[in-house]
Amino acid sequence: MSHSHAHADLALAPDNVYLSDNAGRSLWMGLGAVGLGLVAVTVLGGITGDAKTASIALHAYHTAAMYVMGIPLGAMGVVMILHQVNAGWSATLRRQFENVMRLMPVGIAAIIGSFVLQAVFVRVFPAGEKAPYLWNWMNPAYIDGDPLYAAKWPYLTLWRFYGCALLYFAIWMGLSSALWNYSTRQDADGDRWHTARARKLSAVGLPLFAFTTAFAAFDWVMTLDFHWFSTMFGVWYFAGNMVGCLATTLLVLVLLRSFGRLHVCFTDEHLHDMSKLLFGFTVFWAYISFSQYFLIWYAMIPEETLFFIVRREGVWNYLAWGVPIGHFIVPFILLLPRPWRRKRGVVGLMCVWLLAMHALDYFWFIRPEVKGSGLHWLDAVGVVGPILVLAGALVRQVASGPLVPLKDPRLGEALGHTNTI
Amino acid sequence: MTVFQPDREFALGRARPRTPDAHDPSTVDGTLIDDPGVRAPLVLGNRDFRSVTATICGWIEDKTPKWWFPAFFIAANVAGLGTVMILYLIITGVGVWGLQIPVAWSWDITNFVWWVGIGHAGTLISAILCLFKQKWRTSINRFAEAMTIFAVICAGTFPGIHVGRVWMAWMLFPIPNYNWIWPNFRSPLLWDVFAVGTYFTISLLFWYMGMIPDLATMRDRATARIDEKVTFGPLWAPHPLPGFIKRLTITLPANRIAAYFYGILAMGWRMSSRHWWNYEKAYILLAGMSTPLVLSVHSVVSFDFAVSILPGWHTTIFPPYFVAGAIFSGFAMVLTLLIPARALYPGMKDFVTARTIENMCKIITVTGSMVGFAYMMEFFIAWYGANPNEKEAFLIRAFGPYWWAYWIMVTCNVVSPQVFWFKWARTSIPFIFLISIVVNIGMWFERYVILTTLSHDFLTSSWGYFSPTWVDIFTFVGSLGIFTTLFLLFMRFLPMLAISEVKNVMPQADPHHPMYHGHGHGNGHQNGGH
Repeated sequence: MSHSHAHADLALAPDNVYLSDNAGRSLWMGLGAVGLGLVAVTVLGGITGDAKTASIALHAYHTAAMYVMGIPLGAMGVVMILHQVNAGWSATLRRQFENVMRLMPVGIAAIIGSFVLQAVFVRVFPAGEKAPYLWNWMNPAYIDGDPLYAAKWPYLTLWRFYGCALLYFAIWMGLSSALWNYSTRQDADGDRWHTARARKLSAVGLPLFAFTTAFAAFDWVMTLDFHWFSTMFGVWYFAGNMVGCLATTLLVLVLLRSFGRLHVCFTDEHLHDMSKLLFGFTVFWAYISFSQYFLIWYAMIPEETLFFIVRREGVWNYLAWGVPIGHFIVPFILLLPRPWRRKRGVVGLMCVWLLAMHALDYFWFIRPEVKGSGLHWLDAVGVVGPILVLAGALVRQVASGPLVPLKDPRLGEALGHTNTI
Repeated sequence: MTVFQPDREFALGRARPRTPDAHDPSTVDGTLIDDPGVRAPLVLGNRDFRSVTATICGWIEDKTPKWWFPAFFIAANVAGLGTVMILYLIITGVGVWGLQIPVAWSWDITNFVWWVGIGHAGTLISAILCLFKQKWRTSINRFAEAMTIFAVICAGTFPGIHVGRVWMAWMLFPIPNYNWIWPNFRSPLLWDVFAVGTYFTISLLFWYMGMIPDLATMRDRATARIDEKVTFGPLWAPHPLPGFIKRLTITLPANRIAAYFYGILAMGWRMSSRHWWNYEKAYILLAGMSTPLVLSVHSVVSFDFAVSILPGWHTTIFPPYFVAGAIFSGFAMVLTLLIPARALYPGMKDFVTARTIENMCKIITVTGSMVGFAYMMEFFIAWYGANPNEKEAFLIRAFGPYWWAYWIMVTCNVVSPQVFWFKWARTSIPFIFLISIVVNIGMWFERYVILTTLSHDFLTSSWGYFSPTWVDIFTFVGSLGIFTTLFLLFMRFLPMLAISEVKNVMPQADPHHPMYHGHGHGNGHQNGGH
C-alpha cells in the first residue's frame, strides 16, 4: 500500500490539481475575441456579397455550429457511459469530460446562431428560389410544387422544427447541469452517493441522449436537403461527436500534463487507454460512414445517390477522398503501434489532426448544399470562428476549478490504474 | 472560484475496497451492492486458488451427473433428426421446404442469421469486454465462447444446404476450376462466406488458445491419477462389499486416456513465465482481432439484405442494427444456458454471481433498446423518405398477413427487455430465464419478419404466403439438437470456466494482498497447476 500513499499525496497536492489563479486568462480572452471577430467577418462577408456568398457563409458557419454543438454533446454521452459502467480507471479524467460537457450553452448558442443568421440573411436578400436559406424547405419559393415536400410537410414545419430544438436544448442542458452538479457537489461535501445518483440519472439520460442526438442530426443536417434520407444518419452524428469529444478531452489532458499538472492522475496508462478509445471510435466512425456510403452506392437508387453525387463533384471530390484517408487511414496507422499510443506528443498531434478532420467531415456533409459553388475564403473564416470561441470557452472552463473530481469514491482505483499488456 | 482542499485521507480510504455486507438481503449474494465506494467481489465463498481449480476441474473429473445422460440422449436424438432432415433435403431437393416464388428464401436464411447472431456473444464477452477490462466476464467467457463456436457451426450448415445443389457449394470459395468460372465477388453472399469463415477461425483459435493453461491443469491432474489404484467389486455386488467377493484392483484406463487427451491439447504448456508472457500477448492480439470481427460479421450478414433495392431491406442502419441484435440474442442464449448450468453444477454460483447475471440483464436491455431504436428509425424514415413502396413494405409488415410475427418481434425484443429496469426482475433467476427465452424467440422472428417482406412482390398477382413444411420445422429443431449436443459434450469434457482467468481477478492475485504474502511470492501461477 505504500505506493498508493505516495501516489495520493502527490496526486492531490493543490499545485497538481489546480491551475494557478487567472491561468489562461489572456488565452481564452484572445481565442474568444478572435473567434467572435471571425464570426462577425463571416456575417459581414455574407451580407456584403451576393445571395450565393451569403449562402456560403451560412453553410460554413453551420458546419462549425454542428461541430461546436457536437463536442459537448459527445462529452455528455461519455460522462453518462462512464457512470453507467461504474468506471474506476477514468475517475481522475472524468472532470475534463465534464468540463467539455459544460460547454453545452456554447453549442446551443452556436445552433441558435444558425437559426438567427438564416433569419437575418433571408431578410437582407431578395426572396426567391435562390434566397440564402440553410434549410431550403423553409423557403416557400423552393418547395413550391415539390411532391416530396408535400409528402413530408408534417415533419418539416417551423413549429415542429423549433419546438423540437427547444426540447433537445432543454434535455441536454438539464442532463449536463445535473451531472455537473453531482460532480462538483461531491467535491464540496464528499458524499459518495452523488456518484450513485449520477449513475441513476445516466441510465435515464442515455436513451434520451440517443433519441435527441439522432433527431437533432436529422433536423439540422439531414433536412438541409430534405429530399434525402438515411436511417444511419443519427448514428453518424453520434460517431463523429464521439471522435470530436475524445480528441478534445485528450488534448486538454495532454496539455495539462505538459504544464506540469495531473501527475499520477493522468499517467501513460491513462493516456494509453484514452488513445485506445480514440482509436476505437475513429474506427467506429469509419465503420458507420462506410456502411452508410457503401449501401447507398451499391444500391444506386436515384433518390439516395443524388446526395453523394453532389459531394463527389468538383472540389468536393477531393474531400470525398481526403476525409476517409485523413479521418480513418492516417489515425488508424499512427495510433495502432502500442508505443505511439503511449507518447503524449504523438497522441496530442493526432488529436489536433482528428479535430481538423472531424471539421472537414462535417464540412463535406454540409457545405456542398450550396449547389454549384467552389471553395471560398469565407469557408475558412466561417468554420474556424465558432470553433475558436469553443476553444476559448474550454480554456476558461478548465482553468476555473479543480482538474480532478477531488472526492470521487473511485479516485484510488484510478490512481493505481495500469495496463498489464 | 472556491478552492476545496483535496482530502488525502478520503482518497486513501477509497483506495482500499471495502468488504460488502453479505448479510444484507438487498445485495442477494453480497454482490449486488450499490455503494459506489465498494467493489463487489467477483468470486464468492472465501475461495483460495486451490479450491477454484478443484471445483472447476471437479465438474469434469467427478462422476457424470445424473441429468447429463438423459439430456444427452434427447439432444443427440434431436440432432440425429436434424441430420436425417438434411439428408432428406439433399436426396430430394429444396422443394421439401416451403419455399416458393415469391418467398424463395425463408427459414433457411432466418435460421442462419439467427444462429450467427447468437454466435456474437462469446466473442463480445471475450474480446470487447476484455479490452474494456470488465473483470466479471472471466467467469462466463469460456462458456460463451463455446456457445459461439457451436452456434456458428449450426449457422454454417444452413447456407451450405440451402444452395440446392449441395455438391456445388464448394464454388462459394474462390477456387479456380477448368471452366474458369469464378465466384461473383460482388455478391454479399460470397462476402458472408469470408466473413463467417474468418470469424469462426478466429473464435475457435481464441477459445482454444485461452483454454490451453486450463487443459494443462487437466492434464497434470489426470497424470497424477494414472497410477492411482482403484479397488472395486463387480457391478452387481451389494455395498459394502462382502468379504468373499473377489475384489479387483486396477488403474483406471480413463485416467490414462484423459492424460493423453488433455496432454495433446495442452501442447506442452508448462506454466513457465515465458509461456504466460506469450499467452498474454497472444490473448490481447486475438482480442484485438476479434473485436472488429464482432462488428464485421453481422454487418456483412446485414449486407445480404441491405445492398438490395428491395423496400424494407435497403436501409442504411442495417449494419449496426444487426450487430446490436446479434449481441442481444447472444447474451440471451448465454443466459439460457448459464442459468440451468449454474443451478446444476455445485459451486458455480460462487463464480457466476448475482451481479454477473445482473450485468448480462443490463446488456440485454441496452442492446434490446438499440434494436428498438433501429425499428423506430426504419419506420420513421420509411415515412419520411416518402417512397410509397417503402412505406407500404413497413405497413404490411406491421399490419399485413404477417402482423402476428411483427408484433411477436416487437413484444419480445423491445418491450420484454425493458423489465430489467427494475431490480426485482434482474434478481429473479426464473424470470430472467424466461425473458432470455422470450428474447431468443423474438430475435428469430426479427429475421423471419425481414424475410416475409418477400411475400409482397411488386405485382399484386405475385403475392404469396409462406408456410413452413414439416421438413423446415424439423431441420430447425434439429439444429437446436446439434447445438445442445455439442454444448453438453463441452460441459462434460472441457473446463467450463476459465480457471486461470478467474484466479487473475481474485484478490489474492494482487501482489499487495495479505494472502499473497501469507503463501509466499509466486504462488499465483504455481497453484494454477494443481
